[in-house]
Amino acid sequence: MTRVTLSLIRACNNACVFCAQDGLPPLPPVDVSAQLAQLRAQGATELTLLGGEPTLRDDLAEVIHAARGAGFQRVGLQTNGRRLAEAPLTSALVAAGLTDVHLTLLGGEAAVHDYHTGIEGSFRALLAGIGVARGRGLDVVATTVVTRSNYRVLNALPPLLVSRGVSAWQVSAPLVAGRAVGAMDRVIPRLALAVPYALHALDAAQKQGLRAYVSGFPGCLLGPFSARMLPSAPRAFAPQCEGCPARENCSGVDVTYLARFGGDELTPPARAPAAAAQLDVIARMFTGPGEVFVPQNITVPAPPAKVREGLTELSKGVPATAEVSTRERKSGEALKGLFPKLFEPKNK
Amino acid sequence: MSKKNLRRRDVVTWLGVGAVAAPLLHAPSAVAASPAPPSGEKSSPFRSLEPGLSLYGVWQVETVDGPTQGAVAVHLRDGARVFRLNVLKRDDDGIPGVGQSRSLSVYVCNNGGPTQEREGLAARALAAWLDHYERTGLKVPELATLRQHSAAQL
Repeated sequence: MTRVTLSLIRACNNACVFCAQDGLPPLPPVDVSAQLAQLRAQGATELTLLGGEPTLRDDLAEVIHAARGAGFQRVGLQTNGRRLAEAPLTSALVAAGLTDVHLTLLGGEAAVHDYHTGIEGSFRALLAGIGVARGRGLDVVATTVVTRSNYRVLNALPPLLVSRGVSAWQVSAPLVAGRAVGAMDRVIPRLALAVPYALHALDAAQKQGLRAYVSGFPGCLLGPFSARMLPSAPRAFAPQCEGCPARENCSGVDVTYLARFGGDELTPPARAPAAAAQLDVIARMFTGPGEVFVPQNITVPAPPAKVREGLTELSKGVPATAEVSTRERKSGEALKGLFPKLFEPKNK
Repeated sequence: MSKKNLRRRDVVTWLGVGAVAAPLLHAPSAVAASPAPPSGEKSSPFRSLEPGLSLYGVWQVETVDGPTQGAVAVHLRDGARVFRLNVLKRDDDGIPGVGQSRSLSVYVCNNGGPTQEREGLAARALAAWLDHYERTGLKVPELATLRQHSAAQL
């Protein structure tokens, strides 16, 4: 069984702080039927429809119907889940042949999830969407992109997912791409700090009966969860990764992260890692938008200090939408009252 | 509410953590632990890891207790706040602590609840101190791994 992805749209009704697709040009018009036929001819038997947000396509039910007609045994959506709360829409998608849903859930409470999506109310809509999807018999899995703002509260997710009937959970590393480029220090966590928290949350998930996977992190930081690593396009490797017995199956590290921070956090294991997770029908639902990014698989030399200093430019600018919407605009006079020293004439 | 709190937290974290984060996130060998373990009277499982000790001039040791069920509990003060780290035996087949030395692993003890980023950095600071401690050849108490400690708690 082979699962493939097909991007339908770039537009999205969320504005995630880490969105790697932000700034990409709109998709050119394509013949979806021809693409489906081509994927089937290549041997694919399962399909995930991607965006942007695929539920924004008016003809989504027709695409799903066409995919099933082309012979795909399973057709899923990778979605933020908000529109699944619209029961008539979800019912129409199921009637067209939708079999499963891959959601993105970024926190166990509204404050955390909505902060990341930039949309107040997105958490509530997502939970409602899960309820409708499960009520229509769809298999549901969820991915959490680990950020600097949520890595310490990941433990809240497993009980929530279990209580909502979600079949499996994946924690995933963010890319320094798209919107995350302008807010790297705020969005991208340091791996050495964040990964242990993620592993504890994955361990808690397994203890609660939730299937747990991880992707996009270097295998040497994953301890026993290196055996639960899902394949992803290789990113970049540090000089100390040369000769690592796990490199062949390792995701490596984001190339910008490595250039900025170096590879001191990576510690190649002395022995070969455990065998990778078997990709059954549920694990295959995590198949992601690999075609969006060109695999790099390069070794990044340790950057000189001056280069690292220059790269701090990456962290400037682009506040989250949620922050913009809640920030009070102040007049020059008001700022003068708050920060009088800023307005004092400079001594020459 | 949440959004304002989150934003404020980000700012506080940037200002407070930035200065100490960089060295702590490198490999332990690259970290210069601020206090050299001196030869003193032993009243702690780790000689000189005692109340009043300052880690990186940021965190101050409040108490050191144990080992209890194979774990040494270290309470650190960070301004007005006190939090707990557990020192356990390193287990390369188990879930690692946020900080690790040659044979020890330091966990943020939060009972599964949310913590602050500075607590993770403190765990790495303590691990760096312990790594230095071990390199000097001082005695390390017999401790349990996290798996053994968790099993003992059930």
